[in-house]
Formats: sequence, structure tokens, C-alpha cells
Amino acid sequence: MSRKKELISNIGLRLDGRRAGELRRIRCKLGVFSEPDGSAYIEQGLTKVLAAVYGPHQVRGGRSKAQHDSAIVNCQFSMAVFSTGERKRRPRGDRKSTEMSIHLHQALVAAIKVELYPWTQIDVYVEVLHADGGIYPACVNAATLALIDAGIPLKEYVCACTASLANDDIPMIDISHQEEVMGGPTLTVAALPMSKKVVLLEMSQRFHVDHLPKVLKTALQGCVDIKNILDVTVSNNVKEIGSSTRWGNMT
Amino acid sequence: MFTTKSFIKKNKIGNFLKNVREHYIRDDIVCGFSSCYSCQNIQNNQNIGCSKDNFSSNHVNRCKLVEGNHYLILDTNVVLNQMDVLEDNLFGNVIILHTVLNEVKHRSLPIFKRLMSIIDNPSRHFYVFTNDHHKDTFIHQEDQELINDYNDRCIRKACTWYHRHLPKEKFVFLTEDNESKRIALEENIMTFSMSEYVHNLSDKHLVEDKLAKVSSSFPFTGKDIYQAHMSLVELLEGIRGGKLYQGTFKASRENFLEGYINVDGFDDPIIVQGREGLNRAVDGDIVAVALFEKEHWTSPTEIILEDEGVVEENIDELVEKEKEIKKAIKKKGDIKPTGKVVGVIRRKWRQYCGILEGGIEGVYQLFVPSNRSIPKIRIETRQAEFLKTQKLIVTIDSWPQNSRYPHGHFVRALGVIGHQDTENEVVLLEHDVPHSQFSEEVLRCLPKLPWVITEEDESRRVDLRHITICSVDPPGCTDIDDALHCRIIDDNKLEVGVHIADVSHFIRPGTAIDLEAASRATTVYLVNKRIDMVPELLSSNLCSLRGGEERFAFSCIWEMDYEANILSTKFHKSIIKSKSAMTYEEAQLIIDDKTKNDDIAFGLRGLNKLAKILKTRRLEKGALVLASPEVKIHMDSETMEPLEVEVKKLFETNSMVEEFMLLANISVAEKILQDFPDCAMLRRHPTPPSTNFDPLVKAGKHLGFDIQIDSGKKLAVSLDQAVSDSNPYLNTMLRILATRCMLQAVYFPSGTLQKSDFFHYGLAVPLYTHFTSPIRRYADIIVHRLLAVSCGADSTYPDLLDKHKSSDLCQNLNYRNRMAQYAGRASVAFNTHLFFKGKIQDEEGYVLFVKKNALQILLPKYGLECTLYLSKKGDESLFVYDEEEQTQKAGNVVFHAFDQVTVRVSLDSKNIQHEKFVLQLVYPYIEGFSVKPLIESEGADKSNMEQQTMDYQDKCNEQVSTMKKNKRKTQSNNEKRKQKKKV
Amino acid sequence: MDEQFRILHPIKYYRDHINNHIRPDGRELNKFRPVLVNIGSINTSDGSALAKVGDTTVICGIKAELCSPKVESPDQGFLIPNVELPPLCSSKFKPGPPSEEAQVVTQLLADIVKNSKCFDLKQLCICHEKLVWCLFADLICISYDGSLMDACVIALMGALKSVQLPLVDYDPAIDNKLVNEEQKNFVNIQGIPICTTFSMFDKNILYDPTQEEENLSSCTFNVVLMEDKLCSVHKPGGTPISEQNLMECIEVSKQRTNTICELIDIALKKNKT
Repeated sequence: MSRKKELISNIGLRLDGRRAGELRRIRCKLGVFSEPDGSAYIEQGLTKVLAAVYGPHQVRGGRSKAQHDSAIVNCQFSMAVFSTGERKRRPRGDRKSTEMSIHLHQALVAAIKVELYPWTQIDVYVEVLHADGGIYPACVNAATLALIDAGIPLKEYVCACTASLANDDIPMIDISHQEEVMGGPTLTVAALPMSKKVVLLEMSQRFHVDHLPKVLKTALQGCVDIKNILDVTVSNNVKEIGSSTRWGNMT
Repeated sequence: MFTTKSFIKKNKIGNFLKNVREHYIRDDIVCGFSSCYSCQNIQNNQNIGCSKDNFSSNHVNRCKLVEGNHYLILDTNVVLNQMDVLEDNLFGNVIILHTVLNEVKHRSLPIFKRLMSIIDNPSRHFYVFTNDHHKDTFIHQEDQELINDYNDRCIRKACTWYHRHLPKEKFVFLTEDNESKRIALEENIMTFSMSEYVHNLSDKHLVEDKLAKVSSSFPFTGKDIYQAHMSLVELLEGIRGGKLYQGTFKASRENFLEGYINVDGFDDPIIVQGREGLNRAVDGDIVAVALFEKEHWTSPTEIILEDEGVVEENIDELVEKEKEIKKAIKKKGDIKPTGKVVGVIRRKWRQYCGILEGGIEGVYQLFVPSNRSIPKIRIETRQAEFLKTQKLIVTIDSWPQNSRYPHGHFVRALGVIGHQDTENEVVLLEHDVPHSQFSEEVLRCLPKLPWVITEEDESRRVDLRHITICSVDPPGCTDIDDALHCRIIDDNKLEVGVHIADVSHFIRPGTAIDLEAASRATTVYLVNKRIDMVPELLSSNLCSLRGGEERFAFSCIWEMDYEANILSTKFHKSIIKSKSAMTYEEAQLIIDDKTKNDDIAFGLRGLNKLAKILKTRRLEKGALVLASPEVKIHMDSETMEPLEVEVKKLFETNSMVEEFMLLANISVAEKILQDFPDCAMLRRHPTPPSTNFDPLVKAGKHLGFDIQIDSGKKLAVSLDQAVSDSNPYLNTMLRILATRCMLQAVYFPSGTLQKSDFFHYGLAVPLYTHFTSPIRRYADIIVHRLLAVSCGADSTYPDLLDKHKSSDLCQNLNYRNRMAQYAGRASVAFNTHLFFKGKIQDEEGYVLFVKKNALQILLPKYGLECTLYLSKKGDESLFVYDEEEQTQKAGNVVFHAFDQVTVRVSLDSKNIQHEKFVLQLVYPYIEGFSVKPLIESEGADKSNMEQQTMDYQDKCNEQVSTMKKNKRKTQSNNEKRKQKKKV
Repeated sequence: MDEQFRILHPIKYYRDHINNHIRPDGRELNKFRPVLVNIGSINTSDGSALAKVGDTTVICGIKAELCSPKVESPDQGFLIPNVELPPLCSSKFKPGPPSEEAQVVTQLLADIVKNSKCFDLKQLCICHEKLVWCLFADLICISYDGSLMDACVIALMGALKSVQLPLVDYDPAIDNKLVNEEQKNFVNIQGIPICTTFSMFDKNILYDPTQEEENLSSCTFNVVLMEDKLCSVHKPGGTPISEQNLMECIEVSKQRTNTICELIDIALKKNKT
């Protein structure tokens, strides 16, 4: 009767072999470039995102925009034209990219301690090199890492994750492109995982309100899991830098 | 919980798009054996999967080829070809590899579903091993490696792995492919072909019969009878190049050597004739057809031919029949595109119901499907004598070029031929009607008795118990789902209420009972059996709006003026207490009895008056009436299907109830569409394409009537005008023809179509839905739920608002409804046959169509349509056929369409499968052709006919009384259904 | 101290270094930065490569699409390079439409491909006048630190080398395309042009300048060579250079060309396995 393909087989495996609650493989790296003040690269499954942070620096393009009590956070999202199956005609500036930029801004402002840098601007640029679902979460996670790399104080990590509903019943985490296309609504959540605050919630398609709690819970759990992975990367990175500057030996 | 091992990427270029996918390989996939220590550890650590035993030590596979117990690993081709064998309980402890599962799913969804149901059955011990995600059994696809080879390699890898993983157990790999077998044996995998294995089973019972005959295992190998099919590549290229056409093959029911192929872009279907033309296509197959040059085009033969072949490869009879066709073909005039099937793109073979052809000895038998569009099938069985008494199910495996008939195998027997239970079973199976008992789980959803109305219920519902509400139904009706009231509220206003049983109160979404009802979709009525959609406690008690009992209802209340204009409409849930449950006749008597002046009588009269206004208004708008009361053919005014002979008088009250049900349905449709523009469950009746009306217009023209078909309104008017004094039945005949031109009315969710397509042609209303019979239709339950949300009485649930889900649901409802209708008709036909068994009588009939070698005769008394052959086999016909005028002439007697005739009807039971009516002409008398009437005097004839009619009724009643259960009820419900279908 | 000096008096800072024949990043004047090539890093594209010259990183993805050819060249397909310099790669670039520099580099790249004749567009023809391949070569600079052209050319050539096109059966009569996924062929490349960038600082020639060096130098120019043949010399203004200097630069480029070609070949082999 159902036209939709099953997203989870009755053995409990998803199409790519994951279980419902498993994230895709996450690999990330801080400080990939020297030019920006902070940079990071993240791979979530096949989704690959590069983030660079410039600033805090002087406000560009008219000081009138500058704010006396906080820094301006300027986000730009862009997707490489070859990142998707079909060649994108416009890598940025189209509506989707603009929307992404705004969403990114919203999530980051919630975490950055902007009040510490009045009259300044922080630029966050993200570039999607390879898109395979969950672009927004990967961008948020990459931006967080880049901000940490830039040494900009954050209230805490801001992480994002997607979740969906498989076979109209089982909540499923970290949706791949294939799963996005095949059906089901996708709930994107950006959260402060330590304080368990939701920063941004976005939903594609309609789905019944009865399902929301469990899907949301799954997505939040995903944010916590991602935070733990990022945390390991950050502390390893700090250790590396530390050991090269002999901080490690200082007590 | 985060376990990623390593992954590979799958690349795919499709339509120039490059897709890349991840593929995770895991180390937590278990072999499924509880005795396996290492896998148990994984399972315990991961806390996943069920710890139940996937394999049973009680079940032992015994085969002479293997020493002791063993486990089976199946190849994809075994699953695809030998499903019937696998469904036998003899097979257990089987490992299904995920690779195989995916391949099966990809290749055949029906087989996949059957496989899944075996896997889901815990007593069968089929275990799915996810080999493609297991770290040890996953292998990379080589460059340039074909997907089939890759899958085979995966399967062998898994076999080897099992062997190493559990060295103590024996694993047997079954495959149908010789090459696969050879390679597997080389790799030291114990491998057999399915037939080898089955033939050597220790306890093979009758499984052997079920083996699919893939390779030509029949000893009838002669020379090729059919032309070879082209390869799929050639076909696709041909279609792409425009040399071939793709279409669905429809076999003719009358002539086994003729068929049609509907091709997109062609106005007329392409005709294929004879062995060469049909070339092994079976009804429903998607085929490629090559068109002949125009000078070789022909017309439909319009002759009726039956396959009388025998089990041996003898095609003399076939050649003879082909000659007959050639003779029948006329080159001039009405030629249609003609071609021949050159290949089959996709077979649509399924399981067929039927019997064995009598008089054949030995293990090779001919199976005769009850569906006449399907050819006979040759099967091999060791229990022929037993099966000859049985109705059985058979499936087709192959149709080699050198075989006159397709090869198939026996699936299962249903019961003794001609037995009431068997025939019901056959009807239900053939029409895919779910008819098993309600499961425990479903019954648990029923409310506990005694059922009482709580205060909470009262607070949520409007109390209408004080209002004089009554129901009007056929006699003996037990599932009363509607009741009415009408009262004056001020000088020029009336309040009219329609109260429908509140079934959705008892059937909550998502429960077992809901799922079951959704799957059943409708209550199915056979002549002597009713297959309920919901359990009896609800259908005949708690939901039934019985007289004098307090019941929950969903009410639709209008304020109307005396001109039946609706001033306001409201919907709410209520508690009612019907004052009286009447029959149509009782209600009619009360209306007519001027001395009665109580509330009930007043209400009924008011309703009746309004109903008449409503009906007139409806007809003015162009609603079609395809029923004619004086001839008592009962029509379904909504689906436009003739139901059957209705000998009872129709009362005004029938129409009264119908009008208000229609009104309620329309009002509800408007309301739910307004509140749920995307997912309101509506019902539409599409306007038929004008070509559908061709036979009607043609018939009208021959009789001198101009049938207008531009709009429903014009059609209705022109039908009304087509009256002949000399033949009072003519108008009805035209209406019967008109009915056949109609399309089926269907359910749909509003979000899937343009608003202009919502139109209901038959009723001539822009919006329509089903609200008034929730006890026997699932669509009504959905509509109730939507309406309940609309008026704040209930909350939504996910599936209700999901357009795609609704659309899927509608498809099921439409399918089941159609099937229920066909099943009902098939049941009636069977019972009519029963009635005629051993009888010979003269009946009045009308010519429906004039064919080249026969007349189609309609016997209105029985709603029967039979064929009167005009020439016996081999004899020269006395008749001259005039194609232009559509007449048959013999001497001075001319038969036109719609002419009245008297025929002698008897049942030819030579072929117990296809018992058929044999007609002989009585009147008009034609020397050398007609027979003398049974009874000379005309008056006696008439009374005799009445007598026969009574007989028929009695006979039906008799059958009913033989059913132990609910004799009265089933019969009456059946009647009730006839009434209700109108709404 | 060093950093402050660099920011406050950049020219002096540089001059001091260069007078000592060393550059601030520790290189001698005639030394190149390490080059890194990685091929096939983007799976969604039909051919891709990542090139790193020092800190300058350019990623190139090639997407093949089907289209109809131009009337004047009915048997030629298209190879359309496009260079993007997003704000991500350097604080020099602002968000918004493509910067002038990006447009210049794009044009230059197109000219190099065209003039060097390294790529025969005729091989992209599927059906004369009807159907050809169009290769969109999109280059994104993800980190900008001078000598952009060098990195762009390497990335583009690396990506081109890895492009595999499926066979297409085309029936012009019914406009039907059938893509044969099983059979894919590499495109033919006649040779690999390699670009080398130089800067003039005072009287000294800096090989493979960084961004900072490019900014401070009086002129920057690049030399493109394919095998031993000179394809182009591009010197957009600035102080004049002597012929002797130029010849010296060409000679150096020649040597570098061979090493980089080898690098690309190694990367290609690595990707294939």
C-alpha cells in the first residue's frame, strides 16, 4: 500500500547500513589555513564543509552598522557548484543560500559572546565542498570549530543535527541526502547541547505534531553526540599546539 | 553507540547525474544462531536485535542428498521462481541473505511481499543475514563487474563465511542457475538445484507438484509452435525507434484466439489474432507489438471461439480454429489497426483459480482457469484424481516456444467443486477479498459489554434523545447506520436532521481494528454470506441505530424553508434515541395513512415533501437516472452499475431516504473540503470520454433516437425522450447501455487533483463524499474523523493529514470496492447457475447486441446476459448478417438490437468449470432453428414465468436456510445492501 | 617585535630580509614553495583535483553536461573554466559578485587552455551539430596566498586528467540520448601546461611569491610552458624587466614544469588505485 520506500529495513538497518540512532562518520580538523583567523574542516559522512573566521576586526563598509554593545556577526554560506549531483548554477546569493546564511547567523549569535567585542565585526564564511544531506548542521558545526580556532569566546558549543521519522514511526538521526530525498520530513535542530537549549528549529514538510517530541529528542541527542566528537577534536588540537609551544610541560 | 567501521562509496551515473552514497560496514551483525558464542557476545554487548532463537532445533531439514540436519541458503532465482515451494512448511531454518532480499525486492514486489510474510512468521525460522553490511562478508564490486555476477559472488562469500563461522553445522546452498552451481561447487560449497533437492526430500509429500517448471521439463517437445520472441534489447530499441509499440495485452473473453493491445497514442486498441498474433501473450502482460501494413488490417472477428485443445502437443484443432477466424475476418469497412505480438516486456502472471480438465490421464494435466481470458495451463501432478474433484490454484512458470500451453505448477486446492463454501472461497480469492476471521487483537479493541453512556460522553455530545428520530430501512436490516428527523422550528422554517452511526467513536485511528477495517475497506455481500468490515458487535449492535435504544450518532442538521432551500447547516456529535426503526413499506403506510398525525407521521411527511423537491431539482441539474422502476431493474444511481433483478416494489420512501443521504454527503463534502483543502476524502465520478458512448449512440441511431452525450444533462434528457410505445422495455435497455458507458466512481484525497476534476458526473454535483454508511464503508469512517476535527469533537492524527497516505488509502478503498462489487456479482452468477441446474424453461428476453454469429440476449428477470449462437459448429448459418444495420436476418424474421424474443434457457453442465447457459430460440419462430415452446398457451406461459420467479426466490432462500448462521440476517442484509448502494 | 615591524613597515621589513637573500617565510629568493596535488577528492564531480602551492589552495571540480554546439564550431564541445575567489580564502575579498581579480584569472585560464592547445575540444563532440559535452570546470580558491595562477592551472589540469565521460548513444532522428554507464573513457590531453609566477622586488626576482610579496612587489608576471614550449607570458604592467631576467625565468619554469607534471601523474595513479 505504501508508495514510500522503507527507510529502515525490518532488521533495523538504514540504507547505508547505519542504525536509527547512529550518526555518520564525523572527521574534523581545526586550523586548516593560515590566512584566516580561524578555520576548520568537517566531514559528516560525505558532506564536507570548510569554514573560515575573520575577526573580530574593524567594521567594514560604513561604520554606521557598528554596534556599541556587541560585535556584528556576518555569515556567508556558499556551496561549490560541483558539490551536488547536478551542477548548481549559482553558488551563492540565491534564496536558499541567503536563507542558510541567515540561519547560520542566528545559530552562531546565540553562542558567541558578542558583547565582548563592541564596535567590531566577525566574519564567518562557510563553503560546502560536497553536499550529501545535512548541509546546515555541518555548516554550524564547522563554524563552531572555526570560531574556536579563531579564539573567539563562546558560551558553549553550538551544534546542529537533523532527524527524521523512518517508516512513520522510528526517529532517525543525521539524515543523508538519499534519505532526505526518499521521504519523510526533516527536522533540523541547532542547540547548545550542554545547557540543552534549542537555538534553531527548522522543519521541512508537514508532519504530525504527535511525532514531534520523539524526533526532537533524537535530534537533540544527536547534537550532544556531535558535541562530544567536536570536543575530542578541540582538546586534541589544543594539546598539539600546546606541545609544540611546550605548554604541556608547564605546570 | 557510534560505530563506523569503514566505508566504500557507490557511484552511479544516471541521466548524467552522479550519485555518491555511503555504505557502512559493521561488526555487530550476528549469524543468528543462539549456539554461536561469539555472536551472542556481540548481541549482548550491543544490546540490539532480539535474543530469540532464529533457528529451531525442532525443525529438521531432511534430504537424502545431505547427511543429517542442515541449514539452507537460497539464491535469488530460487526465491523468485520457487516461492510456492518455499511457502510449504517443510522448509525451515533458512538463511535469507540481504543481497538476495534486495534483489528480490528489485525484481518482483509481489514475491518480495510473500517472502517477507514467511520471514515474519516465527514458526518458519527464516533468518535474514545482512551480509552486505557485515565486515567479513562484504566485498567490493570490481571494475566492469556486472551487478548479477557481483551479487552471486556476495552470496557465495556469505555461504563460505557461514561454513567457516560455524564449522559444526551444515549449510546447503540452493540455486537454479547451473553456472552459479558450478562455481559454488568449485568453491566447496554444498550446492544443489532446487529440483534436485526437492526430489530427494525425505518427506516430500506433494511439494514436488509445486516445483516451478523453469526449464522445459515436460516430455512434449515438438517443433516450435510459436514464433520466437525478440530479446528485450531489441524490443526496447524497436519501441524507441517507433517500429514497435508497447501496450497491455487484453485477451478477448469470447474468442481465445483474439486479443487487444491498448497503446498510448492510439485511439483504437491494436487487434491481434491467431497463434501468430497472440504469440504466447497472457491477459495483462505488457507486450511489444508490431503493426501490420494497412492493407493487412482487419476488424474484430465478432465470433465466439473456445479452446478445446488437449494435453498433447496437437495443434490441428488450433489450426482449424485459426481458419475459422480467417473466414470471419472481413477486409472491408470497419478495419482497425492490427498487428502481432513480437515480445513480452513484462509478464503479469499471477495465481489463477480453476479446475483440471476432465478426461486426461497421467501426471500431465490441463488446468482450466475460471477466468476465460487466461489460457489453459499444463501442470504436472501426482494427485490428479483427487485434484479433479477440487477447485485449485495454479500459477504459470513459463511458456516455451514449442508448447501449445504455458507450463505451470499446482499451488493449492481450495475444496470440492460446486460446493457452496468452495465457490464462496473462490469468489473471495479471485477478488482478493480479505475474509479471514477477525484476529484476537482486533476483537480486543471492542468495547466491553455492557456498554453504558457515561456522563463524560453526555457532556461532549448534544443530547437529541427528546427529538422524534426514526430510521427507515429494508426489512430485517440489522446494521442501521442512518436515521432522520424533521420538525417545525418556526412558521417558515423546518429543521431536518440526518443522524449517522458514530462508528469512529469506537474505531480509533491506529488500533488493530482500524487497520483491519482500512484493509478490508468495505463489507462484502455475497448471496449467502456477508463479510463484515467491522466485527458484528459493532455492526449489528453498538453502532446500529436501533429503535428505542440510546446510541451515539454524528448528526448533520439543516434549517430549511418549505422549498427545501438550505438556510444553515451544522454538524455535531450527538446522542439519539430512535423512536422507531421502520421498513420502507411501514414508513410509506404511515405517510399515506391520513388518520395518523403523530410526530413520526408528521416528520415523515415533511421529509417526503422536501425529498421530492430535492429530487426534482437534482434531476434538473442533469443527474442521471439509470433506473426505471416499472421494470424493476435495480440500479445503483451512484456507481451506475446495474445491481440485479429487484422484484420488489420501490416506495417513495426509498427515494426519500436516498435524497437526504445525498444531501448529507454533499454538505459534509463541502465542509471537509473547506477545512482540509489538501486531504479531504472525496468521491468523484469522472465524465466518461465521448468514445465510451459510441455503442449507446450507435444503438440509439439504429432505433431512430438521437442520444446527446455532450453533457450529463443532455444525456439525461435524451434518454428520457427515447421512448417507444411498441417496446416499453426499450428505454430501460438504453439505460442499461448508458450504464455501461460510465466510468467507476472513485475516492480521492482533495490535494491530488484540480478542483474541476472533483465533479460527480452521475449525480451532477461539484463535490461529493461518503458519510452515511460508516458501518460498512471505511471511507465514511475517514470522513467522520475529518468532520469531527472540523467541528472540534476530535483531534487529528498524522496519517489523516498526510496527502500521500490518504492517496494510498484511497487506492486501496477503490480497489476493494471494485472487487467487492465484482465478488457480489460473481456470487449472484454462481447462484443463478445453481438455480438453473437441471431446469429447462422459456424466458422472455431482449436482444442486447447483434454479433456476427450470435445474439447477446438479456434476460431481465435474472439480470442475465447470455449468448444465442446463430450457427452450429460446421453448419451453414440460416442468418444473414448486416453489419451496417446491425441486424441478423433469416427469411422474413429480422433481429434488431432491443428486439423482444423468447428463448429456452438451460444450463450446460458438461464443463463443470464453465457451466454455461444454452439458449434456444422459441419466439419468433424460425423454421429449422427455433424450438417449440414448452407450454403452448400464452397465459399459462405468463403464470408459469411468475411461478419460476418465485422458484428462483425460493431457491435462493433455500440456499440461505442451508447456511446455519443468521439465515434471516444475511438475506435481509443482502437486500439492505441493494437499497443502500443507491446512496 | 618581528610582527609589529612587519605590520608597521612592511617594505622595509622585506627589503631587510631580501638584502640578506632570504624571504620572511624562510625561503631563498629562487626557491619554490612545496606543491601538493590530490586528484579525485570530490566524488560528485566527473573530475576533480586539489592543488596546493604553499598555502594557496585551489580546488577544481569538473561537471560534464550535454548541450548543443555553437553553429560556427559544430564539432567542438566546450570547456568553461570559472575561478571563484570567495571571501573565505582571504580577507582581501568581499562577499558579493565575482571580484575583478577572479574575472581576470578566469579569462587568463581560458586563454591558457586555448592557446596551449592542450585540450582538443573536438573530442567532446558526440553528434555533429547536435550534441556535445560541455565541461564546466569550476575552481574555488579556498586559501589565497599568492601565485594563484600556478595553483589554478595545476588544479584544472589535474581535474581534466581525471575526467571520465560515459559513452553516449545519440539518435538525432528522435532526439534520444542513452548514456552507457558501464563504459567510461578518460578524455585526451595533449600536454600539461604549467604556470609559474614571479615577482620583482626592487631588482630581485622572487620565485613563487606569497600574497604579501605580490602586494609589495613592483610587478608580478607569470610564464606558462607546456613541456618545452612556451605558451604564454603574462605581465600586466608594473616595472619593466630585462630580457635576460625573462629568459632566466623561462629557464627556471622549464625545470619546474617537469617536476609538477610528475606530481600530477603520481596523484592520478594514486587516485586510480
